[in-house]
Amino acid sequence: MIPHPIQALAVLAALVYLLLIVLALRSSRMNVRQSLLWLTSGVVFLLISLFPNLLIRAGYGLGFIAPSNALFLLWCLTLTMLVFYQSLTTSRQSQEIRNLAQALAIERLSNEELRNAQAAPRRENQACDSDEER
Amino acid sequence: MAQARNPTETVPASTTGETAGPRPRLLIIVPAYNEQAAIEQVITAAREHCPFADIVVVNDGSTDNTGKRARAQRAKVLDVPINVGIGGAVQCGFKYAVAQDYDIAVQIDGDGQHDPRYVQALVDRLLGADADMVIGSRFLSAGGFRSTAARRVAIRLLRWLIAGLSGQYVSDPTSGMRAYSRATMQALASYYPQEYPEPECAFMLIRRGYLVAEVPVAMHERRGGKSSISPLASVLYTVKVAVAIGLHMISRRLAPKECSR
Repeated sequence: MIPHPIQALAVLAALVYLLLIVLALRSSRMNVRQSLLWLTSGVVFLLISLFPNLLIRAGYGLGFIAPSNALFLLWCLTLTMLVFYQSLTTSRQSQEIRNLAQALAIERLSNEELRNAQAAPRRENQACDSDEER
Repeated sequence: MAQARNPTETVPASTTGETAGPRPRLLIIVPAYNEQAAIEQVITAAREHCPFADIVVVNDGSTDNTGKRARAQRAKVLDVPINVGIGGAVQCGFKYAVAQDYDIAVQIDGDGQHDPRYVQALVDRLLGADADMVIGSRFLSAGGFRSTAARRVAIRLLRWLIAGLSGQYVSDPTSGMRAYSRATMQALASYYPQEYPEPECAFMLIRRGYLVAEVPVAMHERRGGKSSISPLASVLYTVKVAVAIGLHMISRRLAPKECSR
C-alpha cells in the first residue's frame, strides 16, 4: 500500500533516531530513566515503518478517517507527555538547586564565623601575655 | 557596639515590659540583590534602632559590591552563589535563623524603603498578641510613601481576594516588612513561595491557621537599585499572585499550625 521509497526512508529515519539515542546513552549524556521514553518511541517508530499495515489496520479499526490521523495523534500525545515530564523534571531540579545554594550560603557563613571565633580568643591571649610581661 | 550586640547581656526591658525572662533572640533578615547604594544605610539604621538584634544580609547573587559593603558594616552575610530570587533569599534567612535557634526574625528590604525604627513595634505586637506573623502596613498609618497608583490598584485587588478567600482583611499584603515567630520560621524554612511571595505567604499562613497581625509603619521611596516589579508588569504580577493564591486553596505544602499553644 505504501510505496517502497517512502518506507525505506521511514525505516532509515527510525534507525538513525534509535542510533542517536544509543550513542547518547553510551557516552552517558543521557541517564537511563530519561532514555526509556525516547527508546520506546524509537521502537514504535521503527515498527510502524517496517509494518505500516499495523498502523493502517489499527487506524481504521479505531474509526480514524485516515491512518495518518492516528499517527499524528499518537505522536502529539507522546510529545506532550515528554514535554510534561521535562517540565516536572526542571521544576524539581530548580528547587534542588535552590536548596543547595541556600545550604552553601549558610555553610559558608558558619565557616566564616567559626574562623573568626577561633581567631578572636588567640588575639585576647596574646594581649594577656603582653600584659604579664609588663 | 560589639558588646551591645551580645544577646546574653542584660538590656533595658522592651516597651511592653514583658521581658521577665531573657530577651528573645532577634534576627533581622535583609534580602538584598544589587543594593550597594542602600545596604550600608540599612544596616547602620537597623543597628541604631535595634542594638540587641543580629543582622544577616542575604546577598542574593549580587553582581555589585553589596556583600563587601555589608561585611564592612560587620553584618553577617549569607552569600547565595546564584540568584535565587526574593523568595529563595528570604527562605535562606529563615533556614539560617532556624539553624541558629533565633526566637524572632524580622525581615526588612535591602533597598532602604523600610524604616528599622518600626522593628520594635512589629516585635512588640508579635509577642503581645502571640501572633505568628506581623506585617508592617503602610496603609494603616498616615503619611509616608504609599507606592504608585498602578500598584495601589493591584494591592486593592489582592486585599479583596485574600479577604474573600480567607475571611481576614490584610491592609498591606505586598509589604515585605514582617516579623515572624519561631514556629512560623520553621514552617516557612521548609516551604516558602518563590516568585512574588508576600501576598501568597500571608494568605497561606492565614489559611493554615497561623495568626497574622498588622501594625502601622511609614515607608520611604527606595534609595537605589531597581524594584523587582516594573510598573508595566503590575498587571501580570496581580494575575500570577491571584492564581498562586487560588492554588493555595488546594495546596498542602505548608505545615498547618499546631494547636498546642
